[in-house]
Amino acid sequence: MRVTVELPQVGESVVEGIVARWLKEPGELVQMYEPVAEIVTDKVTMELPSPVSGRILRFLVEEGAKVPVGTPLLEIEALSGSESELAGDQEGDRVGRLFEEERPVGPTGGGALPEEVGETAVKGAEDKGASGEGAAAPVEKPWYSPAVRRLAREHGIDLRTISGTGLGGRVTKEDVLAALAQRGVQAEEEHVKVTPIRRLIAENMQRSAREIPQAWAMVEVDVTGLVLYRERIKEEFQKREGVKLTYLPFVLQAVIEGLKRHPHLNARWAEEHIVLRRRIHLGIAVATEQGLLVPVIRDADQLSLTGLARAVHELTQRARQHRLTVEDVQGATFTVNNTGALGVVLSRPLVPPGQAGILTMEAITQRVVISTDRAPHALSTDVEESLSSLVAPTLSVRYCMNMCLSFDHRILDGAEAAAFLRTVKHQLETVAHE
Amino acid sequence: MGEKSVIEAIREAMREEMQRDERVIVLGEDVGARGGVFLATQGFLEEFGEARVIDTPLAEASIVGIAVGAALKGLRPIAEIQFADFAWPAFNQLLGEAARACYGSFGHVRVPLVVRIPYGGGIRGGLYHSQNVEAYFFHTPGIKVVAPATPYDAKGLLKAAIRDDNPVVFLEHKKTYRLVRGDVPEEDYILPLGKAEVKHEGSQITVISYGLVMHYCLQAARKLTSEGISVEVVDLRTLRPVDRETVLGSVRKTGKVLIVHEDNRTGGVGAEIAAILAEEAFEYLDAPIRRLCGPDIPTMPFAPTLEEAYMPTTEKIVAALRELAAY
Repeated sequence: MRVTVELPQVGESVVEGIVARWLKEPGELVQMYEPVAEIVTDKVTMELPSPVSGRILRFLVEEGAKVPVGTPLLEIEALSGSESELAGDQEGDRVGRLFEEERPVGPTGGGALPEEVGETAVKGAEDKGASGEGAAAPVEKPWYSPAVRRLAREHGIDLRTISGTGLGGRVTKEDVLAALAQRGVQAEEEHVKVTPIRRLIAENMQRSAREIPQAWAMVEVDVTGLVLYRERIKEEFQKREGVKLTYLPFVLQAVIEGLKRHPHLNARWAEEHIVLRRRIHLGIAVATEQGLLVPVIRDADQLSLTGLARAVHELTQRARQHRLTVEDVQGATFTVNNTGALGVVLSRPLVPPGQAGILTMEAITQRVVISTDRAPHALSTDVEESLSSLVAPTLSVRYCMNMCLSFDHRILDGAEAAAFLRTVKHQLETVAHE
Repeated sequence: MGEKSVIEAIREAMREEMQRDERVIVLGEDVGARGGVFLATQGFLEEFGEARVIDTPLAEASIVGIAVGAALKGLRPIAEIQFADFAWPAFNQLLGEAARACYGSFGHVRVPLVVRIPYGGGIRGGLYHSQNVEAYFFHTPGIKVVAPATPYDAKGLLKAAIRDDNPVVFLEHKKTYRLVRGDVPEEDYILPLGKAEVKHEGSQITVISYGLVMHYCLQAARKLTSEGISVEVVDLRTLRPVDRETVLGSVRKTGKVLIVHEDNRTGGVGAEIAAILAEEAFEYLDAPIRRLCGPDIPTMPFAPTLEEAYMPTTEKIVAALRELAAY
């Protein structure tokens, strides 16, 4: 029995996916539940399991193709139990004969045709045009004409770097010649293929820049108290909880407090109205070698500092091991970006589509600050000593952190954004007092 | 230089050659008193006399047989077969004798013979007056096969054929006789046999054709120019020996090829061209070689609708070229 496998509904809001990679070849045997393809949706990679045990007949879409949910992806010739066992052993000959007995093999049978040549023959036979027999058969998998192969060989071109404009995306001679014409430029440049994740990020960022009128604001937060507090408890925390205590959970707590007090930051623009969200799902931007991933801590406001630390730890681990699920990356209502981890002190992030804002925590640096109360780290000079009896400004060295907010100006104005930032700032500056 | 039809160009070529060389004679059914069924030899009897313009019985074997004999004895006969459909009785004389004389005599005996054969359909000629016969001669070593499409080519090539020392089958598409007109120089000129001509330059697809349908190919090429598809049209002019150099050069340039002829597909001239291209230009092909030919049916249908369905037309050629362009 021939089974057509479609792109399944993999998440509530997912409407399309990219076939990043086939994990099998046509003609190969698969067991039920064995992964056959890597599918990239939203910002996550998942494996598509085979619904049956059988032999892969052919792929219906190309690697890298972006297709809507429900699109037929591949065909599998399902095997019954006994055949499946036979198929499991490595004797290709016997399996081949079994298939032959069952259905004719060849251009019209399609039973055990592992070669794409077979596919082409099938198409050719069906495609008798009014004016020619089996001539211009559409090409389904990358197939290069003799002329294209010769040109590639003569000029040392990697054909995979050329996107085809011919029938079914075939790379034509003209495509190669155009690529060659570009070569003068290419000698000084390298063209890197866009990965599915890169493309998704690009599309999201483009949408953000195109659709959202973004405004920006920054506050400087004195985190001296937080730094000292964390220094004091971090070792014990790690021993007790098993995860490292970073600054991020503290920032998340402060942000959660800010979002509660300023709900327009936990919202989205819906043209006719502004949707204020009652639940707080925080997206955490994580840099990985494959690109930026934004796993989501659901109902972050329900978690304690320890809970947040655990959630952050777990999600970043999963992100870096490529184990995020679709649920892990969707539904964020606000995003926090730890640009400070990269040593940056000032940045201007783009608001993710569907959210009202994104807040960065920049690098914590020591700065000379004018303050009016005596701090433990105040400069101890003679002048300062002499002035200390007066309630006068002093110069002190403090740990400071910039926080930058980009927000959707359709939803809120600078005043509310500033109020949100003040709340976050206040929370972080008083954390050690708790 | 004056504008002339194909039949006028042919008449002029023969007259000039007969004036130039008194060994040149014409013979065939009705070529004398009637001036030929298509009036190719109109006025010849009066001008050259019945010793050089010979009306023959309705017997093609004897027309060509006598012509072969006359050629062996030093004349340069032009034999006319009234319609290609009636050429079969002459096959033995032409293929069995004329084609072998030079080879069989180690070059000592030549047969400087031209057999003019009006051929082709699209003229409501039905089952017995429409046939394409080129593939039979095309297959035979020892015979040259010429199939011009324009008045200029017809005159220059017919003169070359008459002056050639070995047998030449000169195929004249009946529909071009009065349909196709063009400039023909008054002065004596010769076009070399075995040379194709690029009739329309292009860069993306090569169309190889000859005879009447070559004009349809030109129309298709001009039409597609406005669609941004650049088509090169090669007119073979001589089918045998085929001009490999021109054909290969064009296809190596474009990488895609459509071969168009009115003759049946199987074993036709296009099949040989396709084989040459596959053998010698394989690495230049960017698409499968395509043929647009008459279907494999025994002869031209009489019903106008069926005849139309048989014939390659500009529309069919355009469609095939569009497909190739998109490939």
